[in-house]
Amino acid sequence: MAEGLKRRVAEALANESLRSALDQFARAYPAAREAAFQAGPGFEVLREEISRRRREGRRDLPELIEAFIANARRAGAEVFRARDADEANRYIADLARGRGVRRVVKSKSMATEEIGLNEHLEGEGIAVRETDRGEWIIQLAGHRPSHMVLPAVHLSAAEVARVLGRSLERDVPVDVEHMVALAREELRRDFLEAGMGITGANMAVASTGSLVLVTNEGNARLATSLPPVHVAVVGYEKLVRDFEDVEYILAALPPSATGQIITSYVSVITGPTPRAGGPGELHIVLLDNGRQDLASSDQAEAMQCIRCAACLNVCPVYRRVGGHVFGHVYSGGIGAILTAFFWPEERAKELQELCSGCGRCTEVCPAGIDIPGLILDLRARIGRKPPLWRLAARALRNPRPYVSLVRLLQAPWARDGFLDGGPGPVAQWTRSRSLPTVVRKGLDRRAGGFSVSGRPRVAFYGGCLVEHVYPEVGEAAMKYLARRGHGVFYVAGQGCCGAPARHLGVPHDAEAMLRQQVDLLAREEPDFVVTVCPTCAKYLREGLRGSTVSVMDLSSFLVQRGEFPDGGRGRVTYHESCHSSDGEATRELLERAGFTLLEMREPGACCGFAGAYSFQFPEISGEILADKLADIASTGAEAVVVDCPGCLLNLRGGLRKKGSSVRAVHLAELLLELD
Amino acid sequence: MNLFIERATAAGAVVKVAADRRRALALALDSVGRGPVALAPSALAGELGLAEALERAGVESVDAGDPAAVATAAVGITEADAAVAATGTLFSDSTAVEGRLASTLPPRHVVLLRRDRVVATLGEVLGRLAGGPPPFCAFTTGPSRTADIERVLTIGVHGPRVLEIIVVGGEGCGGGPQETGS
Repeated sequence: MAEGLKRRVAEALANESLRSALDQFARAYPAAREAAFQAGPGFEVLREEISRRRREGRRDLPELIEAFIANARRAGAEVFRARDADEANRYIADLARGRGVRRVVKSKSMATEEIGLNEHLEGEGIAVRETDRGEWIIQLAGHRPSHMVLPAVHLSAAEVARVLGRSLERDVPVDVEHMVALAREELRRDFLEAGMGITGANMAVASTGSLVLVTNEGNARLATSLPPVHVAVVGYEKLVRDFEDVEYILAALPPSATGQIITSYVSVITGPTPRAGGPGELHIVLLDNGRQDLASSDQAEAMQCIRCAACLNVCPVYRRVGGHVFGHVYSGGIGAILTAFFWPEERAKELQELCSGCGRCTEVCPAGIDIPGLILDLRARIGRKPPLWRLAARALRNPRPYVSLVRLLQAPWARDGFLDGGPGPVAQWTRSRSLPTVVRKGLDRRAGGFSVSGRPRVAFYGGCLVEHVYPEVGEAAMKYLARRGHGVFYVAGQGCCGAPARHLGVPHDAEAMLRQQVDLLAREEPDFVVTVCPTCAKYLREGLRGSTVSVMDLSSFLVQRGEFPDGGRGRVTYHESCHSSDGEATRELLERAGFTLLEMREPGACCGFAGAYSFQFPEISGEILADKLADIASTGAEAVVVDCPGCLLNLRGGLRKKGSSVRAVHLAELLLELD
Repeated sequence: MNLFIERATAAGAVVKVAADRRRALALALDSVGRGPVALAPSALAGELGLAEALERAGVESVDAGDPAAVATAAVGITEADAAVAATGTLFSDSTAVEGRLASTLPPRHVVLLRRDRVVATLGEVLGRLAGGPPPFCAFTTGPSRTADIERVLTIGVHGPRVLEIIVVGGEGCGGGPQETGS
């Protein structure tokens, strides 16, 4: 693992004010977002519309660009198409020089961050003043933005006061209102005296050649109304077809970004607007800088991004390490993808490793982008594939010798079926949670011949963790199904579904493994394949698409067939695994069984296992796990029920490490106990 | 109307409803206080006789087209062309520079709105723009704000701290049943 990245991760995790700021935001955001969406037609409706329109917009991008340019010019704007950062910077610098501009005021623009405009202009002797308050503060502090919408989210009030005090050379009290008033005073003068205002744009409307700017502070309005020249830097992804597109995106952007129904100011600018001193000038710099490459790549879906930052706002990794670590100008999962195209690919190599694949981002993305999927594709192409991972992939294809080896190696540290230490990296892997030992008799040896006749025919698939670590979970599921008269059987010779290999970025191995399992299962001609792992279910389902075989995880299968247990007693809580759909099936089973189901604050938050992630980034995984354990503890439940053996591993190991008496149990085990 | 008032208020605006022009003028003078005032020329301000009333009251008016002057004003007054109930948003064609200056530089912004210009959704206003928008269309919801420092919401950043909306009923404004100016 690259030393630099690990070090930056460690520093971020240890930065208390950063952690506190990000945590506060992450906690407040979901409710604010939900309330804001409820004021309109609702998120699902908006996502449906926006993703379709953005997809069509991608398809028609060349026409939209032509239409935009023609209409913008007709309205009196100058339009320049910049192929890269250099061309954009030079155009703007030349324009400034030509107009005798000595001072520029800027309203927040990620595109200008991307091209390094400020540095370029200052190098030409032109003073640049950021006016978005967060951007102004980080400009004074010499920081880069750490979030697409709230660039200074990483700074506490006290740190801001220090930065302001240093640069204004006076004492600044740690009083937020005072600091804001200070910004207003200091920046007002710049607005009145600047010769040029530079902004980005949130949307560029092809049908009229208009720019749409969405802000809260009023600085974009001042920057476009006071200086005689307005320059807008606009990436090609901002192109939208017409004002219907604008309406839908506008309904989703503020709720996603900040949990507001709408921002204080939305400005629609078409052509130059008159200034106090005479007619104004409007120059629109359309920016490529890798966007055309992105639009014709496998990751083209990322062009649908509306830069709302909802993904960042729910990302468990971003929440712990912030945008300076999980980002380079653009942060989070989407940031990693954009970075691979707007800069040399190398830049995104490490960045994309930080994505755990939990999938919360895509759940809230208004443009329907499959961010984790795009990251896996990117990972396959540019990710590192160190020897240890290739060994792991090989081990998954033919586990037997490796399992025996692990059993040998684990022996000196094994205690009561757990490891709390070990050689090399194992010490790190067991710092936040105990690891379970690999068993002597795997599921294939314990249940090899298990077959019960009945209808429907149900092929049981265990998956790696059940096979080698939790065979009792597999046995419990099979017994429970058999007792209900289903014709359940264990498919001998089954192996890994390939998910871990896919997540490590070795899709060829993953494809081969999946195909092998699919063939094996299909040969048996079952009606259903039932698993006890939602991740395996997801991959097998993809593999068996188009066949008559229906793949389901245990809880969905039971609920679909109307088979509900009873005799449940006591207080339990439920942890939704990242690859479950909504957990409704398991909740229904638990409630109808008679358990008192106490919900966590964030039942859908990742447990930190995330496949190989807890072994690659044990320090980040450990933090995610710690919050989940605290959440579990806060419910007062006696047990936490899970659907996924990966979650089972992490929660059971983490609870044991904490000395907690709360029991982590897989649904299958619980059901058999009730029987 | 009720939804507009609710949403605009939730966004931090102060909404006052006047049954007729006479009451609207009284509310406007009240909001202005001692001034100085930047009055952006508008049809409704003309109908109310606002400029003359300010002069009679001895309130200083600055040149609404001069940024440096408007920056010294305590209050800016503009007219909104429409309003959106669903979001509590005001819409105005702010191509004329006076409107933009008066609505952004002074710490208080007072907006005159004809009662019959309130529509239900943002889509309705955006739909009207589709045919060819004026150069600068301003949608304003509440006063200016930021939540950048520790997510503490602060009102009054670069734009105004106070946004006051005077809804004017009566002749030519779509006046409804009797309402007291509140």
